Amino acid sequence: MRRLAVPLVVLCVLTACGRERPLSIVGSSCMGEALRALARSSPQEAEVQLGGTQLGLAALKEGRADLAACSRALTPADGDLEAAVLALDAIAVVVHPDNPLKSIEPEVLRAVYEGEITDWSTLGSAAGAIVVVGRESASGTRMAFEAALGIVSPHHGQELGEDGIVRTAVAACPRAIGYLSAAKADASVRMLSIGGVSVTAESVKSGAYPLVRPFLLVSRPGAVSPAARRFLAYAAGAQGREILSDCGLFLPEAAA
Amino acid sequence: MKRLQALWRGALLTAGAAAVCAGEGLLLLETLRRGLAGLGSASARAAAPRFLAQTCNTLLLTGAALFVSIPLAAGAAAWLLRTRRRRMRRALLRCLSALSGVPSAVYGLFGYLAFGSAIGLGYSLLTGALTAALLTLPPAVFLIRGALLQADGSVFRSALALGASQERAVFGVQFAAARPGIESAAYLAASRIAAESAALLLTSGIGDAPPRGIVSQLFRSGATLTVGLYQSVLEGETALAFSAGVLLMLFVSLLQALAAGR
Amino acid sequence: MSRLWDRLLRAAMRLSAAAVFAALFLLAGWLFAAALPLLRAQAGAFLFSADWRPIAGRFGIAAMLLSSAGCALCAVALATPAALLAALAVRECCPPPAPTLFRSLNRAMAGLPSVLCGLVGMTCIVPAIDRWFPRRTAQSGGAGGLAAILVLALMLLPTLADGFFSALESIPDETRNASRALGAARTQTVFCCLLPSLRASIGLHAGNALRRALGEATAVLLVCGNVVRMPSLFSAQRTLAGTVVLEMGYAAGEHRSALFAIGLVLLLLTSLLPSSQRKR
Repeated sequence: MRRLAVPLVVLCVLTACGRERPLSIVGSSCMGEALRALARSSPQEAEVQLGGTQLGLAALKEGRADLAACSRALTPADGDLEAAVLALDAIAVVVHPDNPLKSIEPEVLRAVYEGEITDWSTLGSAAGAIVVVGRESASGTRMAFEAALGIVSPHHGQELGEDGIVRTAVAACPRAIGYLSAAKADASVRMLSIGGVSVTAESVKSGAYPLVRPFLLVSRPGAVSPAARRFLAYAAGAQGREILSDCGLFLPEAAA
Repeated sequence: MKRLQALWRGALLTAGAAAVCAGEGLLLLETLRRGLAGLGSASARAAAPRFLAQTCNTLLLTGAALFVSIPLAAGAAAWLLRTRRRRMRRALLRCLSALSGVPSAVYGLFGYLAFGSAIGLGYSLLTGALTAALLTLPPAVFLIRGALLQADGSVFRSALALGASQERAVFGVQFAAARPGIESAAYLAASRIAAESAALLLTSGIGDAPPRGIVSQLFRSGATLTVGLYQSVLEGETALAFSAGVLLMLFVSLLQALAAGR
Repeated sequence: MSRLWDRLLRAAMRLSAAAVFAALFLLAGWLFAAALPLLRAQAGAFLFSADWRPIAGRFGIAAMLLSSAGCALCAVALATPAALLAALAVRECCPPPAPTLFRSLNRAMAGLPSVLCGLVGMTCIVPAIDRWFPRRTAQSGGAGGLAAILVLALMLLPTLADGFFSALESIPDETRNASRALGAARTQTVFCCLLPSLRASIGLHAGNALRRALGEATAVLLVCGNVVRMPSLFSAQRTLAGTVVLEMGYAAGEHRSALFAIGLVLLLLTSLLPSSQRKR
């Protein structure tokens, strides 16, 4: 054992040296898959830490992160920050596949989430109380959803921590309704069209689909490190855009 | 009358045994069923690098935590054994009892405050390791103390008779005699750390970058297998979560078997 | 040279003991200091109001406190008798391979992460509750107090069963033989002779289990619905430990103080419970 100690220490020191600190991106869990995919293939080494939009913004302000991943538009309350749009994401409203409902009006959706409508029979489905699934208060998705529909005091049956678990909950409960990033919806849940408009590239870019929010990479103004600049350039480039659209996100028009 | 009583008692016993078997059976069988199915699937193969990274993180964090905690626990156990101050001994035992009851979320908060913010380590494996060391300190002290007490006292007295000092006799001889018990304590502490989630969520964070060097990885945030399990559930990948559960079952069973084998 | 070594060893022992004392005082003291800003501002509202809306500056933990305490108490009340009866049944009334198997199984399962219980709860128990009580779970879809209680009980069962099993093993065989010699049937021996001698260990293990249940965060987060509201069996609620884990990442200022104050409350609650180790 003693004979191994010196080589071991040398090995540790050698592997610790000469390593530039990787770019630190903290924030929204909805953006996690896309950011990880980008980080894997980008030439700039990046470390992605999830935990919520609010966590990312807090970490950015405290200096613990180089870039914050924000899944909603910035508001004046967030302070003076610079945002680069990574992609556009649609918030899909999902129900259980056995639920016959196919479309819902924005006003009706607002009423459901504010607790004014409580039974599926009002919406034309089989009778049963609606299990309203929402996100917890740190969520950028929740803020974007409530801002787009004008929800003031939501009445949730369950409040879950991330999109993935919302999908699991809605897939498991025939009476549930929930919202999540359209990129995360899969065959285990059914997406509803809002006011007859379903999620397609055209409806998202033209604004016909009402629940669209930007995925932003936020930095402090004037304090963008070269590493961050390199990562943003990669994300805006052809390879980055291809990765993002593979993840199910919608891309704004390419910058000139 | 007696017959009725005996029947009723027998029924109670059977009901209790059935309830426990049903509960534990549900846990085991569900995990194995979904986990083994999940391990064979394509998404598990895609997530293999993540599992590998998380396993490395678990080993690193556990190793670092034990590196801090076991020597401290051994020293405290030795002090408990050799001190003559009865009141201090009782005070320390009460202190350890109080510490052992603290919820792990509170340890996580303290770790975040003391090791993450004050020392400035932020979210890192080292913060998690220090927090985990604190967490396992009380049980480790009790286990090591038990091992020392159970070890053969005559060896200690012979050493003293041969002229060794108190400290030499304790650390050189009694610890050597109690070595199996101390190793078993270390394995049990390791399995406790591996199964910890709340305390590590707040301190070592979530990150599954592949480790590129032992020392540098200690300063990066990383998820252990259990934290990774929780994260997989939040991301909606329950099959992967069950697979991680099976891996954890193997890991913990291995540690418990090593502990019992001592 | 060896005197120096002896002095160093003695100093190391004393330092280790001092470190344990320091750990407790630092833990309690630092938490208290971090929680002080909030407690000075609104201690009364903090403890007695059920309104937890950090964005609006409302930090009332009454609902979450009742939820934590209620779920923990019910879970322990459920798990302790079951584990006790099972340990008695397997050890006293089952043929040879069963007791050793039972003990190894429980030891192995006691080391499993609690998140796994939460996961099984989410995938099996919550849908089952939704199916069995469709009218009651109208709003919540199964997540709520009952699910949390069952998950906590599931988590506590192996540790409790192992504890009671060990306690039974420490009762000498003479007691059982004496009881049988006096003509008692097996169930009579179990209930009238062994059970009373386990009274002390029941309190000990139940106290430990209660502490663990109060402090459990991640397993309960997955099944209790996480809406801050007064606890009930069939509607979603949130526990104290769950709030800490959910909101710690992004809390700032007074919100962060409130979370540390919750940690302090948890610390006080668990320290009020009976001591977990026998006095030597």
